[in-house]
Amino acid sequence: MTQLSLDAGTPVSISSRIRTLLKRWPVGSIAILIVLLVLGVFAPFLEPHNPDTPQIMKAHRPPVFLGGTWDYVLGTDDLGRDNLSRLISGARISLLVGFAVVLGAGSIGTVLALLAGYFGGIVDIIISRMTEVFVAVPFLLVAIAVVGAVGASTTNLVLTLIFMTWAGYARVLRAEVLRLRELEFVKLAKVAGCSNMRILFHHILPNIVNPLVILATLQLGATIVIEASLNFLGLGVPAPQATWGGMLAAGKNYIGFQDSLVIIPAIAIFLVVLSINLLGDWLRLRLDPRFRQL
Amino acid sequence: MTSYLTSRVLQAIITIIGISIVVFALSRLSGDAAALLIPPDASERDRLALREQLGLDKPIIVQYALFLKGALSFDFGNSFRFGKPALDVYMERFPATLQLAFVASLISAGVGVLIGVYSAVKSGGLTDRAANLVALMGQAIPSFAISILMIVILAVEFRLLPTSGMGDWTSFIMPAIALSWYSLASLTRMTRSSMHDVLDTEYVRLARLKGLPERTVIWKHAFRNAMLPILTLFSLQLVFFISGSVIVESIFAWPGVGQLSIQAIQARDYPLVQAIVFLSSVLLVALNLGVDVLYGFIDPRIRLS
Repeated sequence: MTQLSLDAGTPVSISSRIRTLLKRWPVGSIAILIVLLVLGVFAPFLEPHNPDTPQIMKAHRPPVFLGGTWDYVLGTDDLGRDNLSRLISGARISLLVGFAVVLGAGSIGTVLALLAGYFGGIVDIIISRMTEVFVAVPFLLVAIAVVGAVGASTTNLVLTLIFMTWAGYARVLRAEVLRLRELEFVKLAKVAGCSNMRILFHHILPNIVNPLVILATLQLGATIVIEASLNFLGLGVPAPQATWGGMLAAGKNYIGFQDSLVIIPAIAIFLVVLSINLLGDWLRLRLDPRFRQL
Repeated sequence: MTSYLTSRVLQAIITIIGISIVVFALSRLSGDAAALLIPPDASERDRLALREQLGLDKPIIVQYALFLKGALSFDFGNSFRFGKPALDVYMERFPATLQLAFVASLISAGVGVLIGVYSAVKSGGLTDRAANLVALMGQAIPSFAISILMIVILAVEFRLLPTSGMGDWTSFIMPAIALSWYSLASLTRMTRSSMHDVLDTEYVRLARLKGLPERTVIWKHAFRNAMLPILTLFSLQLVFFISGSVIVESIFAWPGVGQLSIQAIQARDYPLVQAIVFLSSVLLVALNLGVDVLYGFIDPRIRLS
């Protein structure tokens, strides 16, 4: 891919208003993400009701702000399950899948980028061609086909998404490694007799942490969206486990009758992904303006 | 130019081979394909006969070679569910998907570039703020969520548009917006930042000093030079039109390939799944190759190197 716009030397010229806005800490985003983390980690203790047990007699209760009771703050769904509890339970799944995928795909992508960029030659050719293949396939279509073939489960979902997303890291980071390899300190390390392993992991790796962190943050948001999409299509975490995508899919049948069933999970996804993206944008401007187009 | 083109074509071929391996693996990941096709109480002899007929008794590498040979002539076998060649089923559904993708890409390229350019020119103005909002919303609201919100508001509460299906032009509005949603946001963002960079340059200032009309400066001098990164992004976005169609079509009951792919996966109709994944990927590779060739025409630096 031609990268004519990414010259290292050009100054960032995004409007100063946005710059000052983003240079400050993104307080709102961090607050929302902390709430999400707490909800996800302590989900079983925070859920006011069992998120998966149907109670048909209590079905379709409205949220408290639409005339419901404080007992079921966000109302209940078609099977009488508490929406707040399901939202919290779904947060845990989204976080779990999101972090597992980013960790897995990020590690694989980083190691391959290090090998390809540093050793060059045939290693680079093989890894780069593989990367190009994965960047060029219609990602979601292949992902649902794979999940459909191996069967829907949380583990299969995570493995499929890792399999489909490592290339994004490999492609961007390889270019960084290529650049670093030519710098003095790497050559000096070589002259000093450092092993390849030592150069790769002690000298080059620390220098690609910044783009890696930015990429990983943005990918976390993207992964949560994809996870929700797959669950929405019924090809992710199997029922009765609550997921945000699954809640939207189930609520879809009650549009016009109980709109809150779709609006609540939609807002949850929106707030979380927006917060992660804002955090990612802020990190990008803060750590390395060159990567604003990642 | 020739070496540039050769390397792009070579990469496209490698990518198609890579995709064929993934697509071939799909049908093998799910276990014994023969078991899906015959009743569980069939005799062992029938089972073996079917395996032989499907070529499942041959070594895996031979099976792959046979698959590749078929795929390259677009022969994926008969769809289990429709009982006719998978390619025919795909082609029947393709026009609906193409029409929707066309409208959606017009929306995202047209609106995205327009908002992006004007927000860069009038930085800090109302358009700039609107662009900022579009960019943030587009990346944070998944297309299925925006689809459902649109259905709630436009179709159910206000009854302005049909909820689903393919009919007159009003039925295109919601699916096309949903499909262009993500790419509209990132195109707006990219156009703005690319235009910002260009507007800062000497030659744009010179054009203004010369007293050229602002419109000429913006579109002829600045935008032309800001176009490359926008085009790069647009070619990377083509994938979202294919992936996005899977979700958008199944929400709006759009009779296209995206909806078909979900039905095929749920029915374990592997010839059809393979045909859809392979053909959509090849289409994407071809489109990207087309954009790469277009680069050569737009940018003399590529054409002449």
